[in-house]
Order: sequence, then C-alpha cells, then structure tokens
Amino acid sequence: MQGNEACAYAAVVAGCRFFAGYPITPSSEIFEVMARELPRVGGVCIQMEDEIASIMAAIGASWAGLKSMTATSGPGIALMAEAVGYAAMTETPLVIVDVQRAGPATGVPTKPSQGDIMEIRWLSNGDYEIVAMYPWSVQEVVDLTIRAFNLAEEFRVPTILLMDGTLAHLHEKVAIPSEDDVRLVNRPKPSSPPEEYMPYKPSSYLVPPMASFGDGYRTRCEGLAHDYQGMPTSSPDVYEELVRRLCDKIRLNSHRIAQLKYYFLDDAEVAILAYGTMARIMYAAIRELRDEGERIGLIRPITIWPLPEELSDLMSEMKKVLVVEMNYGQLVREIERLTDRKRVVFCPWLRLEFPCLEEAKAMIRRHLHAG
Amino acid sequence: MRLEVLIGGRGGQGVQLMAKVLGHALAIYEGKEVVHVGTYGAETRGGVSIAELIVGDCRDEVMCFKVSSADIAILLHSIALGHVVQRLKEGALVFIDPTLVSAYSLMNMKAKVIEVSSHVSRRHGLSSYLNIFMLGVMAGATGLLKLDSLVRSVEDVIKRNREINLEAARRGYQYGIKLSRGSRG
Repeated sequence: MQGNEACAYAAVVAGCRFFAGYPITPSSEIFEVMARELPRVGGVCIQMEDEIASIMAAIGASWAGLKSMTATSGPGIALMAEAVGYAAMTETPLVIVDVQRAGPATGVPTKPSQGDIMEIRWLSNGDYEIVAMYPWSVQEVVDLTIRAFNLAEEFRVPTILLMDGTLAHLHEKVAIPSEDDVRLVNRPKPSSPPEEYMPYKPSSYLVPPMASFGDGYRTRCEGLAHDYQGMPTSSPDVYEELVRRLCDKIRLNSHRIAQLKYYFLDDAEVAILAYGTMARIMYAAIRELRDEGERIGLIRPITIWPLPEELSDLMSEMKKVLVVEMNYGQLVREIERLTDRKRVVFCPWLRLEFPCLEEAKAMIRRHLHAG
Repeated sequence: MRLEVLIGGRGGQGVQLMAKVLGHALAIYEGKEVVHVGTYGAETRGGVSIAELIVGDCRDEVMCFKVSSADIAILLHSIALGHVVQRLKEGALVFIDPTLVSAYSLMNMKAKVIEVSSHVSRRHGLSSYLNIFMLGVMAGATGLLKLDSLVRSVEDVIKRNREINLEAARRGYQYGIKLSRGSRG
C-alpha cells in the first residue's frame, strides 16, 4: 500500500478516533481512508471548510478526550500556523501530517519537496517546541505514525509527521500491527480529586496531567499565558516558568524523543546527512560508491525536531559532511550550528523529482572531490 | 536480482492498476521486495501516466525507487513514448499494442519490441481489459511471475468486474507463453 494509506491505517491502530481535514494534494488519500475507516471503529471523520477549521476541530476533539489528527500539505500548514501555537500553548495532544509538495505558495501540487522543514518548526509566534519525524519507507510511515500519537500524548505536544508527495504515493509491502502488538501511550490523567486539580501544574517530567472536558474536573483550554489553574495572567514569573516549561518539556526529554540512524560510518571519512525519502536514495548511491572505493557513510535523522544530540559527535569524526536536502538550504543551517561550519557542504536538489541513482552518484562525486 | 519495470500509457487506461496488481503479486505471492511509484497528471482521463516498479530479492535492492534503465516496459499509448524510451536498458523487452503505439517509433532503440495485437484481446471480448491482458502477456512471456500469483493478485486488488479481469489475465498469460515459444522457435 502507499504511504498515505499506511499512515491512515496506522493512525487507527494508534487509537486515533477523530480526523478533521480539508483535502489537498498530495495528502488526500489519508482523508479518504480515514473517512472510510473511522466510522467502523466508532470514530468521527469530518470535512471542514478549510485547514484553520480542521485543526481547530482536531484540537477540540482532543480536549474532549479523543486522539485526533489532521493531514495537509505545505499551503495548508501555513493556514494552520496560528492554531499550532494555540495547541502548543494549551498543550493539546495532536498529530498533524504534512505531505510536502514543491513551494512556496501553491507551488507545484503534484511534485515532492522537503521545503517545509523550517515552516513546521517556526509556525507560531512565541517560544515553544514541537516534535517532527520523517520516515523513509512505507513501513516506517506506519511505525512513526504510531510513535507520533504516543509522543503527542505523552508530552501533550503537537507532533508532526512529515512525508513528501513521493513517499505518500510510494507503494511498498507493509505490516500493519494490531492494537495488541504495539505499545500505546495515553495522555497522563489526573490522579488528584477534582477539587485539588490544577490543569497546568506540571508533573515530574514537566507535563501536566490532562483532564478532558466531561471527566468531572474543572479544566481550561487557555491560549493566553496562564497559571497552574489556567487563568490568564501577565505575571512575569508565571510567564517565564510557563514558556520555559513549554520548551524544556521537549528539550530536557529530547534523549527520549529524538532518533537517528547511521550506516557505513565505521571506515567513513565523509558522511552524507540526509533525511526522509532523500536519505533512501542516498543510501542506495552510497552502497554503489563504496563498491567503487569511496569511504562514505550516511547519517539519517529520523526526528527532525528536536534534532538528535548525537549528531555533533558523529559529525566531529568526519572530514566532510554533505547535507543533501530537496530545498535550497533549511536543515543545513541547523547542522552548521552543531559542528565546525567548514566541514559542512550543502547539496541542494530542486528538480521536482528525487534524483535517480546515477544523478545521486554524480552529485555526491562532484562534491566529494571538490575543494 | 534487481529488475526495473516501466509501464506507460494515458490516464484512464489502467496503468497504475496494472502496477498495483503486478507489485502485489510479486511482493505477496512471489516473496519479492517491490517498490512502485506512480506519476500522473491531475486529470482522471488523458495525460501521461507512468508507473515505475523496482523488483529485488532484498530490501537494499529497492532502496532507490527510480527507474533509470528499465529491463521490461509495457507501453499502452504513444503519449507516454518519450517518457519510456529514454529510460530503456539495452536489450530491454518492450511490450506494445501496435494499434496505439507505432513499432516504427521504437525502431532505433536497442530494445526488443514485442507487438501484442489488440485483436487478440478483442477477439475474446476483452478490449476494455487491455491493461490486465497486457500484464498477463508480459508475465507469460517473461516468466517474471507465475500465473497463480497473477490470478491471486487480481482477486485481491480488483473489486469491480473481477471475473472478466481474471479471464483477461489468464488469456494474456497463455498468449504470452505462446509468444515466448514462438520467439525461441
């Protein structure tokens, strides 16, 4: 099955019972499958009038106690910007799928891109952290969709699953696990009696227990800066503690959240750093180039936000790091901050299709032996 | 062994469905690793429709999902000619319907062109099922997959008009075997 379908089926396994969306190429099949599958398991799938209403409906459903999701592409994500900030501030567990297409603006709807890496990171005003992951195969779409729900619930944070137009429509063999075969995480629930409950008082790992509306607890979904009770405030002390916590609950737990994989690094002098669909093309190209005697390896961040901390150590052992992205320079800026800038070489790819093997090898060779 | 398959045609001819049936048969019933990417326009009818399939024995062989030199191609319409011919390996097998694609246009290619007359499918009342018929022909002629795998895949993937699609697959497969014997003899 294709990436989009796999994402939707995995979401249902992960316990998703609410989907609101507005169709957009290349993400629409997620919506189609959800519209068919959710009613069968007692869930709700609803088409809203636009992306703003879609994400707000998903936020509402999450506060009513359901694991909820929306899916769109770059232009839709742009419309969801304000609501992502609202979800971050209200600490709403939510999964947003962004199937990237070539931009900016409406761009080239049917062509893939990796151009939303910074868009998803900096959607809202103010300081907050999100979680974002980018799979490289249809099976990994399944695994990371389930993980996205788990992380969204555990950390009460909007979590973004990145795909691109190619991965979304790539057909591969997958195993969809049953609910009994996967570890599912549910949001922390209050254990205190209702009269003592404070909806934004953090637990030991900085995440407050979440009562849903209707659970019998007095709770508030508040986008203004708020105290433990959820009451609006402009107190600098309360504000500082809140904003630090919204960031630190991800930053200080990033060792539990961030994931990366690396390949062929044992004898490598040069590493290629790529993620998502581009990483898999690079993997194939590196295998062939190694047969030709090139000592190169691959570093693949699976979690894009937060970036895995091991990246610095891995890169410090390399003479050169080639960062290959299907955009004109996004994650590379972040990579430069993590290592000696002189080591980093940026290889943009803006051809509207991922490179074929020969093109990928030619690109690597060109940068490998330049300067 | 890594094998690249390219299917090209016009939107509405069932190019992507062919790729789905073929990929499903190979992945589920032949134990292969398969990756399939479809490229098509926004239209449901017309426009170029291309399906790329990579078939391998292990995961590493299908990491790159782009066809750059196809071993096997099926060309259902001349509209897709340009997209297919530039990505053929020397000696590739190209299955065409000569009423929709001129064999002349492939003359300069170092490929082996196999003309599958649509009269054959028409004779059996299967002209609307040319896609599955052609897939059967390719499967029978190349031995890439067993008839049983193809039939089971059609049963899994195709919901509408299943019986007649099954007949198209079987007839095509038999015709493909006949073609391959003819070419050897």
